[in-house]
Amino acid sequence: MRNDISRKAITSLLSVTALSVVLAGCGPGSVDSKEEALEQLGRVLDKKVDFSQKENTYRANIQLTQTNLLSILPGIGEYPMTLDARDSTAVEAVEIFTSSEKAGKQRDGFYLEMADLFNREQIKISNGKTAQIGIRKIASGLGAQFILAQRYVPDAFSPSNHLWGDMLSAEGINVTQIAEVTAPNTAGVIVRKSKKDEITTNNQLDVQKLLNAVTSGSFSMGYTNPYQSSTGLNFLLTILNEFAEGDESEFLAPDVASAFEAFQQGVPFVAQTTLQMRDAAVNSGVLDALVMEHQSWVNVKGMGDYEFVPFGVRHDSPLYATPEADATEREVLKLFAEFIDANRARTRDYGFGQNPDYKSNYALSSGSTITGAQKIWKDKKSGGRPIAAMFVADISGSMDGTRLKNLKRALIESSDLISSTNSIGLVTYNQDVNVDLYIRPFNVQQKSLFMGAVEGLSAAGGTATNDAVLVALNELSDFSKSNPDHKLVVFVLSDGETNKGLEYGDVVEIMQWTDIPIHTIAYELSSDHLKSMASLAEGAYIESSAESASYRIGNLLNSEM
Amino acid sequence: MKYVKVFAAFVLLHLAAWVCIHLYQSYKPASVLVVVDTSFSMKPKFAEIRQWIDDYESQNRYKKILIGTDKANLGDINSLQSKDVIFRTSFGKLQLTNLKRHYGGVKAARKILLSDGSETPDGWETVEF
Repeated sequence: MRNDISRKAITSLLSVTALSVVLAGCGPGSVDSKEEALEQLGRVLDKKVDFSQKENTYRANIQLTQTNLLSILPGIGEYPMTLDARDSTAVEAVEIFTSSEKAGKQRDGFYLEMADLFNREQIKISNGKTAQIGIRKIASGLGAQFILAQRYVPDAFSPSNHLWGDMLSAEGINVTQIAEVTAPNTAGVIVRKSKKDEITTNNQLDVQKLLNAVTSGSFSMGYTNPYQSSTGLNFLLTILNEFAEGDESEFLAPDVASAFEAFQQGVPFVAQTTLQMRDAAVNSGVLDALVMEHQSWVNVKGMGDYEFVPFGVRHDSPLYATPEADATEREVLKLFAEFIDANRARTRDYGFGQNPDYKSNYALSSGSTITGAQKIWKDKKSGGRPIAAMFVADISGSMDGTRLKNLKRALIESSDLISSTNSIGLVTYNQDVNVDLYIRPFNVQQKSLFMGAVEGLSAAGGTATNDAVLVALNELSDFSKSNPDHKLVVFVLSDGETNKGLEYGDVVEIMQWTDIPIHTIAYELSSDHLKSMASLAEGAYIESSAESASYRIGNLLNSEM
Repeated sequence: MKYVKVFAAFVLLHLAAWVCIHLYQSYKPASVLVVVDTSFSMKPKFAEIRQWIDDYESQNRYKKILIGTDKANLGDINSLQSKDVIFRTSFGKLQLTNLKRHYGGVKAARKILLSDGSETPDGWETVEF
């Protein structure tokens, strides 16, 4: 009897084992190379994804007026006041656009605390009113764009460095410097300690060494989008300054631009946020160095293996009055600047003021050089390699109505920011996936077809995001066989969690090993799934409201395409 | 007298031929592309390379010399404000893909690469330093 039970148990065990082996053979196995990933991708699409290839043939009219980033800025309501103050019969309130590192929470809240303390003082100004400060947290580059576009002009602006003030002045916006320094800070390269010698001489950044290291392929460095980030802009100008040998009139010379393009060949990606770069350094180990402000550096965790090396101009958070500020508001601003100065000792509590001896190592006499430098970056950032991108658009039922309408507008408006030397295609999906447009150069015909396809989108059904991304990766992979010089990239736009098709866990290795960056835009959603997908190959994860979709997508395309 | 006339005719003929050749070569100069490898390792050779360019320029009066580096096509050598521009973007290593990208479409009777000889791309004469 006992023997029978043992025999049955062994038979059952063997059966379960055999079944497990058979089941494992049916699913995607483990992947450990790009070739294997592409092979498995083909197999999974053949067996498990039912997708169609009904290409759009409708050509939409192309608008003659070109969209630019400034024209698609969202409403200022997207960036709410972090400390409110309003004018009244008894109050003279001044609103300051304040950069993120001093208008955030805790150690990033220096201006918030200063403004709060200042407001409590109830200081009377010459007209008898009480001076009050309001703070709106907004990234320096974005704040400058709002002012430049006259979309919303606050009374005052405190970016991280003076480059933005110089740029506004050069563009005809008459900003007046109230204080040169309010929160002393520097920008730096955060470098892996073991590689520090590759980019420094006597503990100082040696730009020549940095250039050699980055272009040699043995040293991987990332920096942030110079249209948005003060540190990214400072880094770009530092590189151009090196090529121009300190001659500002030569910053924008064609050979300097070409040299910058050669440098970009060694830069794996430009990040949308410092967080994206930090993850690429700490989690995936892709980066040996990245750029960051010193104040952020002293507050960051998990980067004990890295060291800070300052570069470029100082980031001292100057305070400017804009043309919106009248005489009494300027009086309030001066009082606030004096108040900050009197409390200078507190800057160290927030991580500021720790490199007092560092001197800026270049200076610009004209702010127009900055806009020119940004243009060079836009034109040359891909290092001379064209980009092939597949857009993956969610058209599930939840997108119906305003969301889809705004998404269509966002795609059409932001398509103007795609260079015609790049190639794009379009995949749409709900529970089914369709290739709406094959990848081709983004010339007038393709743009017209792309816009036609977008105009024709309608929403219904479930959400099979993983299936759609695999189809996009496969299309890009096929495209690259005949176009090996192209950089490949996927843009996913979705408003909902995946509820149909393949499980993410079953295909994540395939996605990762294809090594194609997947930028994900979570549309009125916060999604760990999309965040994880973006992190597989240093893509960006962006959360967007319906209102800001055009700008968020446009900004991403401006930096990636 | 007859000899003088013959001699004068001979001189005139030569003069005319010389003027014709001068005009022809001035209006239709052969293009020569000279590209300097501005890799970081070439820096110690820059003075020597500059001298080579000066000599070549003076010896090739009727040539249109197009100048560039491995990173940028700088155009006609006469359009340069200073030859210092050739050497200011020195970093990294010579990438043949960049040569192809910048100069693949340039039509020139000769393409000369001033380098260390580590690369000898097809269609280029390499002058080693």
